[in-house]
Order: sequence, then structure tokens, then C-alpha cells
Amino acid sequence: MKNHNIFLDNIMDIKNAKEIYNKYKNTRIHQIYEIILQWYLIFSGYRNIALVYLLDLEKSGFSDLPKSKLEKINKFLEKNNIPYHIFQNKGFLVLYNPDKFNIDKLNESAGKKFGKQLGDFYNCASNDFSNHHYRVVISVNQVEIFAQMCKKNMIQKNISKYYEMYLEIMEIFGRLDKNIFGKLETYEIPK
Amino acid sequence: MDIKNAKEIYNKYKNTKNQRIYEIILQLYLISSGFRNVALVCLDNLQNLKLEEIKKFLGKNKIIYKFFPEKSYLILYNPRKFNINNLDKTFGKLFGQQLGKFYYCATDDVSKNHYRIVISVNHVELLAQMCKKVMIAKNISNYYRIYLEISEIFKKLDKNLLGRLETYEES
Repeated sequence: MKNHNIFLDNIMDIKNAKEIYNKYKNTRIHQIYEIILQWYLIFSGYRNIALVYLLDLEKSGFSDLPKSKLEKINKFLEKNNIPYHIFQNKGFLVLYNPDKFNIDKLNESAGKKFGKQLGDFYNCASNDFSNHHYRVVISVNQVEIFAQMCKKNMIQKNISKYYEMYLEIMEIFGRLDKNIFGKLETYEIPK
Repeated sequence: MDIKNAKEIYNKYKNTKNQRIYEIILQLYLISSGFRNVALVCLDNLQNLKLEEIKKFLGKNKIIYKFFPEKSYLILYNPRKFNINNLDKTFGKLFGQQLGKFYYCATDDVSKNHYRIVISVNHVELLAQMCKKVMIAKNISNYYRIYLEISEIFKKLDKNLLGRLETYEES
């Protein structure tokens, strides 16, 4: 298993991400909570880029966030100097580490290349998800930090790796907050 | 009980509001399908009324069981495959092994087992145990294989039954 202490060299940045977490951890806006968790993961060095969906979780289906919430999220990101790029027409934003990832090179197709850019977890990334009926998720405090659709044999092939990643992520978040609860799960999405 | 009877019982009781009866009909199907020979359903924190309802249900449907009131454990079993007199009544390591192949972490001392691994169907935990994280790491492929096997078994019963494999640290 990797030792992630090597990523914790920039103490100021980690402290900054911790401060943001402590300040906003009780936010009522789900996406802000998700952002502060993903931001901590980026600054711990575990990932360089993360995707946050801007969907209204209070409504069923894929409804866009109300404008007022979107503005609050924008304001929060600006206030805390968090590098991001919003894809209005796709309904998500991308957080990234500008020292490690050139946002101009982001593949916006949400296809295979995009999945690969998101990191090692996304080994089921594909341009065609029609045969991907199983979901694998690593969540933290009920926020999906890593999630993707896969074929069941791909999960079989990589399940040990997902578990290893789950343990690594829990170790990282354990340094942030001992009360954080993480879970690895997999299930079939009905056709 | 053969699988046809287990299916009939499932179809008759699948809309029950008694969560433990729902768990029993799923476990019963798993036993009848030959996947396991013994299953545990915990009946703790139940009102007497619900307990009576469960006993009545078990009797009416001629389901073979043994109840351990001191532990609130209800054991379902296949009498042709498992001799109930051989059940480990300490409910320790041997008991875990008697419950089937999922129980790799069966031990007499669970004090160091802080991680939980669960296979559930429609949010009912059918196979669950506490483990050390290294033991889960060692067996995670087996757990996933068992999860797929169980999902296949239940699909034959009802396409709306959805399985899930999950693991987490117990706080």
C-alpha cells in the first residue's frame, strides 16, 4: 500500500484545506460539502482533478441546481481561492490542482479520456456505457467521492484495487476528522 | 423444504410489514437453493406481539428452525444437510464456519475485528460479519464472487430483488 505521507509535504496547503473543511463542514449545501472533501483529497495529493455534479438532489431525476444555490457555490469557491471550472451545459464543475493538471487539456466529452484524467480509480472509463450495469462507489459521510459504472467482470478484476484505495482514502480523511465514515460498495443498477 | 415451496412462501409474504419475516423468507430461499445450510436471523429488540407473529408464521409454513431465546437468535437450517445438534452453541468460530463459505473471519474473539463486510438484498443483510481489514483485503475477490452468485440466485426468484456488497469501518 502507498504511503501518502509523501504527498503531505505542502503543510500550508493542507492546513488551508483543513481550515476550509472545519469552517464549512456544517454547510447545508450538499455540493459545498462535497467540494471541501474533494478539495482535501486534491491537496493531500491523492488526486489532481475531481468532478462535482451540480444537480438538485432535492428533486428527482437530473434537475439543475437553483440559481441561488449555484451563486452560493460560486461565491464559496471564489472566496476560498479554489481553482475550478464550471461546465454549465453538462451540469458539473471540475476542481483541480493547477500545479499538477493543465485545465486547458481537460477532455470535456465525459468519455474515456475524461475518466482517465480523473485518476486511477476510473479504470472502467469508456465512450460507451451501454454494457456497464454495475456501480462501484467509495463514499465519505454519504458523499460519493469516487463512483463509476462498470461491467461486472471489470469490478471482479479490480475489486482488490478498489478496496486498497478505500483504505488509503480513509487513512487520509482520518487525519482530517476522526468522525468521518467511509464505505466501499458495489451494486447492480436495474436495466 | 424444496425451492418451489420457498418460492411460494416468498410470493405470499413478500409484502409483509414485518421486517424479520421478510428476512426469513429471503434466508429460507437461500437455504432451499442450496447456497447455504444454516442461517441466522437475529430477533432482538422485538415486541412480544411481533415475536408471536413470527412464531405463528414459522409454524404455519412448516419452516424448520431452532430459537435460542437467551441470544434472541433464530436459526434456520436444512435438516438434510445440517444436524442441528452439532450447532456450535457458543456462537463462536465454529458457528461462523457452520454459517457457510462467506464467513472467512469467523473467530472466537471479535474484539480486533473493526471492519464490516455485508451482502444485502433489498436492504436486508443476508451475510454479514466483522473482520480485520487485512482479512477483507485478502478475501475481497471471494466476497465479490459470492455477491454475484447470490444476486443470480435471487434474480431467479424476483427480478426486483437488488443485491449490494459493502464494507466499512464500524465506529
